[in-house]
Amino acid sequence: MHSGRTGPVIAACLAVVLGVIVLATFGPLLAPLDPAVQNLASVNAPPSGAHWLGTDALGRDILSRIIVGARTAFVGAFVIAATSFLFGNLLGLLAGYRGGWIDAILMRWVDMMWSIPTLLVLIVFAGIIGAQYWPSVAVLVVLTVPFDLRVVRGATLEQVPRPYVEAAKTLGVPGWRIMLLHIWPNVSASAIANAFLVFADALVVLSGLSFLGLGVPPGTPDWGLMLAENVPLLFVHPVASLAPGALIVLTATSMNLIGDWLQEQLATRGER
Amino acid sequence: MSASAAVTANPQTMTSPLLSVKRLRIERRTAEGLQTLVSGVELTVQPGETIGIVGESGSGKSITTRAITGLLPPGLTATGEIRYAGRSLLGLRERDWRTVRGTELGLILQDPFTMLNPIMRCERILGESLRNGGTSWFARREEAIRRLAEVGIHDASVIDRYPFQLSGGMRQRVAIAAALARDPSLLIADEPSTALDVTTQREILALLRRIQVARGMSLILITHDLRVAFAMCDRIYVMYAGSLVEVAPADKLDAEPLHPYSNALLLSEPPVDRRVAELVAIPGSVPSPGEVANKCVFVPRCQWAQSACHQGSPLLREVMPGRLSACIRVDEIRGQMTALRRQSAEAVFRPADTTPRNQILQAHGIQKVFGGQRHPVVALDNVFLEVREGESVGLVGESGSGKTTLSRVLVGLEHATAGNVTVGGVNVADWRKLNRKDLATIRRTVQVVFQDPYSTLNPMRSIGWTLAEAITTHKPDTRQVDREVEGLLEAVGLPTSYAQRRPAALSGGMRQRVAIARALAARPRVLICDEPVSALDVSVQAQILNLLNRLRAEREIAYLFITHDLSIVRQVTERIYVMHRGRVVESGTTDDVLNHPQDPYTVRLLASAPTAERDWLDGTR
Repeated sequence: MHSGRTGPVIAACLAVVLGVIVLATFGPLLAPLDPAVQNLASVNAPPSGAHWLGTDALGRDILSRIIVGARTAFVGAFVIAATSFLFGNLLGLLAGYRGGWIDAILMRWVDMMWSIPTLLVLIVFAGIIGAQYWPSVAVLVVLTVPFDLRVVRGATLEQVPRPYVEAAKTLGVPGWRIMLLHIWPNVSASAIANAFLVFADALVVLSGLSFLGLGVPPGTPDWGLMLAENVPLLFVHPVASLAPGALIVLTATSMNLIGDWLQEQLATRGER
Repeated sequence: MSASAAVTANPQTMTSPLLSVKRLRIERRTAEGLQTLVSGVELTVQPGETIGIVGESGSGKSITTRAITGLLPPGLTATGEIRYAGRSLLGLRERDWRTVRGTELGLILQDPFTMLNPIMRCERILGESLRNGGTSWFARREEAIRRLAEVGIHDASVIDRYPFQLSGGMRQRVAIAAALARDPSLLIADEPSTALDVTTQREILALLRRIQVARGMSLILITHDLRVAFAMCDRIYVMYAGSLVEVAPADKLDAEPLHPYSNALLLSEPPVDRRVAELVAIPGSVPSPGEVANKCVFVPRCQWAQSACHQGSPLLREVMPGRLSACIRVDEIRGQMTALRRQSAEAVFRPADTTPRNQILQAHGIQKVFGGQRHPVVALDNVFLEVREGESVGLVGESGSGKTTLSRVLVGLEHATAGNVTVGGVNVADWRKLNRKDLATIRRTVQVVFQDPYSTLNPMRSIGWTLAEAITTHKPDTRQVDREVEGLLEAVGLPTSYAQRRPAALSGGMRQRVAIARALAARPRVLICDEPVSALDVSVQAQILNLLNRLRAEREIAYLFITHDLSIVRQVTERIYVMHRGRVVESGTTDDVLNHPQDPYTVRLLASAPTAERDWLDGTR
């Protein structure tokens, strides 16, 4: 029923995201060469038959590093999006439906998290316990849950005064059932779309952390880290840094567009 | 062309009409092609004449006037002929419209709450229309005050107020003043009183008629209420599913409708002065124009339909001088239609036995205050109400009277500030302190049917899911849930296959049936019906009211029927409470209160209920 105009764009976005998922899952098997093997005999090599995207300053194959690097890019962002989706939805429903002190406490937490710059927290955190990938992901989850929570709470508040919710209340349907089985399906469109935006955002932030040297350990094949490592080669060998950079942008944009598209699709479900 | 020839033969068209519409067809462009919304509309308005366009939702009455005023939404196109004072309006450019709208055609819309710009004071709202070069600010202000006086607002300070500071009736008056600012010779009023309370509705309609007479202006009144049209109009156009089915002088139509649809519409209006044995409902619901293309539009719901009625859409033709009907069998069935009306008027309602029974629902000394300490708003003030087993009790009042708040207090959706509620023997002082068992007793005793059929069902859940949940909530160990769901659907007159459907696939009346079925799942002893039919078309209203009356007889349920409509309360209740500004001002048996009202408010409310008589509007300010 949707207009054909968005069709090909969304198809391309889905293809990009599926491709990244395949790389993240089977990366080490698909990579033509070992991403860690250094070949000091051929450093900064331009694209060739042996190295399709050339090699970096240590002679490592860039294509293989990109393929294997999809995992850290994708998995961290996925964990952040999925975990905060779960907690954000549960807490958002609770805050919106119950209101009162539960709502007050949760919303103060949201305000607090919103008023702190994410990157600053991560840098301070890295300064205390050292730069590590999974702890950074955990911190990001805590910082991201409020995004989901706020969206779901707002949508829930809109549903609560509707007669179908009041009818369920007067029928004596338990609160948890009203929240999960009545209200959630009606707010899920925004919640699901938001999860995709969160994913795109987390992907960019995690890459940024690696770029700053606060994410994955040095030497790990990772898009953000590659971008940083290969920046000095920008003029002699641009593909080395542009390729991982382009993939970050492409994946994040695709996720965003898919999120918007899904929202449109899901929002009209009740009208058919 | 036969139809337009008939219109010309109308004696009233001897002078040249102010507005004439011919062969009007309105179509919507969709992915599947052109969809017809309105077809073959022919109408004329003489100078100084009031015509009414009457129809239910989806009849195309509003879209027709939008085409006349050049305000069709994008994607809709009108073809045919619309001439105003000899000038063709169809295909006018937006720029040329400005010289027509306001100065020639004035427009008043249904909702006075959104029609006025909320951030403009009344002075600017009127000033925008009064502005015609050269006049000073002071002169315009004086003129605006004079215009407000014309619409019955004699308080000059209103000019400095914002719309939100005015009541609904005042806003509609300001909107009328704005529409009249440039002295149009034709005023189009689209449901001008539907969003207003009955007492205000009568004042606004009387005002419109007074101004129309004083100015010698023409008026097109769009309404779904035949009684309002009878009281206001000279001639009435009855529309159904995008087509005109009957055109007649108001008094003639009232005396004898010449189309089965008009006849059925008249019959399904509940009378306010007496209780009928059973309302005559039109089966089914209003079809879309596409569903009834190339046949008589009323065929699916007409008891007199024959094979001839399925062949081609009949045109309006002159049946008697000045009277047009689109029914091809009208001459054969006239007698039967008259008989049906007489039969309905003569059928007497036999009251059920009124032996006093046990009380099951009681509200005692209920007080409800909204807002903080500083600006308290008293919504309910020391209200007492009781419902006994098997009886039907009405709770009547206008918006803001507190009737809905009271019903919400009775089921715990609001908590009373003071007073207590007794439900099925459980005394509730504080809902939060009830134990599980008492709460379950209350839920089994009282259930609610809400007003808005469009949001009363969860849009994401199938009808079957919703009903199954209601069943298992009350009896978690129910074995054959599907069978129970089917039983409930049958009880409310819906096909069992509807269990698979989502609410969006159902009409308003069907959704309200599902809502009733859901409430019945708990096997309640009292059903609180909060304006259950006010959002429905008249022809569907009667179906739901009959269903409620039938269910009551079958299941011995008591009703607390909340409504603003006195004619409905007359049809379904034995006892009523009249509420005004948070207080019960009068109570007693329905017949006593409605026949011999004591409280001045009840008297006023009764006088405001629309009747078909023309003098209904007399004697108002």
